[in-house]
Amino acid sequence: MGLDSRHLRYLIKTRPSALVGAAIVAVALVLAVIGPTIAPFDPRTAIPGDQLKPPSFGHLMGTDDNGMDIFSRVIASPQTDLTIAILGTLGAIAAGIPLGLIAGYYRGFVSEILMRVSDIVQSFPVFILGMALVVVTGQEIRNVIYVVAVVNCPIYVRLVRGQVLFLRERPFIEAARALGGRDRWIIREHILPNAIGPVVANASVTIGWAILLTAGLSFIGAGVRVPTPEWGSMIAVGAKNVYTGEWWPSVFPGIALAFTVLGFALLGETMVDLTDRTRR
Amino acid sequence: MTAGRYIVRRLLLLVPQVLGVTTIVFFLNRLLPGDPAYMIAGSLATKDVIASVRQQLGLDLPIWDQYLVYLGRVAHGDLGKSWLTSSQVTEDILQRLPATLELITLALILAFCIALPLGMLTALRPGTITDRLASAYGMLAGAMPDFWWALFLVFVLFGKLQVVPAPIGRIDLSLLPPPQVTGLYTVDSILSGDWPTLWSALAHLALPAFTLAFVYAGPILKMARSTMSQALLGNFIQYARASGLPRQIIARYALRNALLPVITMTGITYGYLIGGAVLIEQIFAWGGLGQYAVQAITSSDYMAVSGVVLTTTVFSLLVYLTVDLLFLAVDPRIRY
Repeated sequence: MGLDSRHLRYLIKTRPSALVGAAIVAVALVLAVIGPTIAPFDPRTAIPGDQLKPPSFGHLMGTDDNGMDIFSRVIASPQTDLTIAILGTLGAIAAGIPLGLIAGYYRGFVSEILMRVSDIVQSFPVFILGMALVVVTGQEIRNVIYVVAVVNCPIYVRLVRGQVLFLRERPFIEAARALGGRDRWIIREHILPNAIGPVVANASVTIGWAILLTAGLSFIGAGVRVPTPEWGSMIAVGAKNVYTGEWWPSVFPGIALAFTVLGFALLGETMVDLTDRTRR
Repeated sequence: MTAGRYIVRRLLLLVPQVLGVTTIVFFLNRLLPGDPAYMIAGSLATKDVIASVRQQLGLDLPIWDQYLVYLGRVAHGDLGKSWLTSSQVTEDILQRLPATLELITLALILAFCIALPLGMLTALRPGTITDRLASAYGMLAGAMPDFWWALFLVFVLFGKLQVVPAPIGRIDLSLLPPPQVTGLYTVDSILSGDWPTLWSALAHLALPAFTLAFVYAGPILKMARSTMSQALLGNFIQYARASGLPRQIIARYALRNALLPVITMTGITYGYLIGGAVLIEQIFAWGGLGQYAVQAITSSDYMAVSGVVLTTTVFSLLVYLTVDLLFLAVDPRIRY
């Protein structure tokens, strides 16, 4: 799919939501890199005597009941959340592509087994499976990344397999076969490049969901822990204050979280639309 | 193939599905850190005691034998003993399941009642302000962390306005639960004619159920709108329009054709909610399966963890089964 500047301008005009999504994603990505550096306070250190201060000029979003500056933690969080979500999604894709190619190209026993295993993994409620896996493997950031990869992998196996099934009956694949091409060459040179579009498009949607999953796991204490800046655990820290009326420790990280997820979802939705063969 | 044979085949499919899930849960279990025998016996136990507990649990057997023993137990509804509550996991789960089911079922009904009419309306009148607002809502709701909304609504509606009861439990602390028949407080209190309890149960349900419905109606709404507008483009609708049929009848024709994917989406949401409600249960101290899961997980209560995973997964498999059978009832074209 070629994207020249005219095409791009047309897209911006017809799909303003994608532009909003892209802008949010860009900000989140920039913060993921420089967030902790530009934070006015150290996002991991409590300031003695400054517990649970409401928003002011000194602390734009106030402080939590540990005395940590919320604004600093909110802008430092993308580094944690986005790293987990993006690496987890890449892991799911890295495993899903070869498995999907195999399941689609070689029909028969192996394909059948792969699809049934995907079915079973997908029948676990995502959140429960995520919680159980994090606890089994130990509560480290690395393990949350594995969990994101495992629960999302079947999506990509299915997606790639669907593409391969569609492609393998096309005349150009038949032609490649008639040329005497070996399976491996056909898959690598002809099928993979044509099957990859929807995978890339879906990545953004998966990243959005992965951020929500990470935050949810951290919220119940089965993921990232204080003092590491992370939106879900920040909301959890502030939860007990919400009942007594101090809203700021939970509300600000929640807004940041929602905007980021929305950004990835908006961008992803458009990309999925554009690569969907049935809708073009 | 006749419908009867399809139903039998679909029911039989449940067997390998449940077997597969049980297998994964078993091996997940064996990966848990820590020696369960040591945890059960306590830190003061002697080596002999630990060895005897290991024997009692069958942990000294080869893994393959352990697997078969586990399958046999699960088949008899025995999920082992929780070392935290020191009662049978099956009992613990059965005791807490109604609380979760009551919450997520009400939430799902609410979500469906919001999403379907709104989806239909916006598909019938595309481009209007209602349509734009609804699609913005569909997009936003899906991106919102439900636990954040729950906290926010607790802050406004309980903290500031005091229109909902404190987010602790399923009824007021001063009231006794109604005599247990179904375990659903609303149903049980109606059965026993206990109106103050019914009122209290509904008041406690309102906020968590609304929060879940508000967030999870989003995807259902999006599905309803897109399938409805696709159905409205169909030839049979063009024909109905050309024949001068009234709007309501055209809408009804389109709805029948748009309903299947909406039902699927609702089913998927139900299956997701049994696990997804964990966070909401935690915030409202709901005492359901979700809170049990969190408790089990944070204390490495491995029998309880695997019990919850197994129960929730089988529950979602049953939901998908129901959806497939509903298809048969809704769509006369389906002949497998």
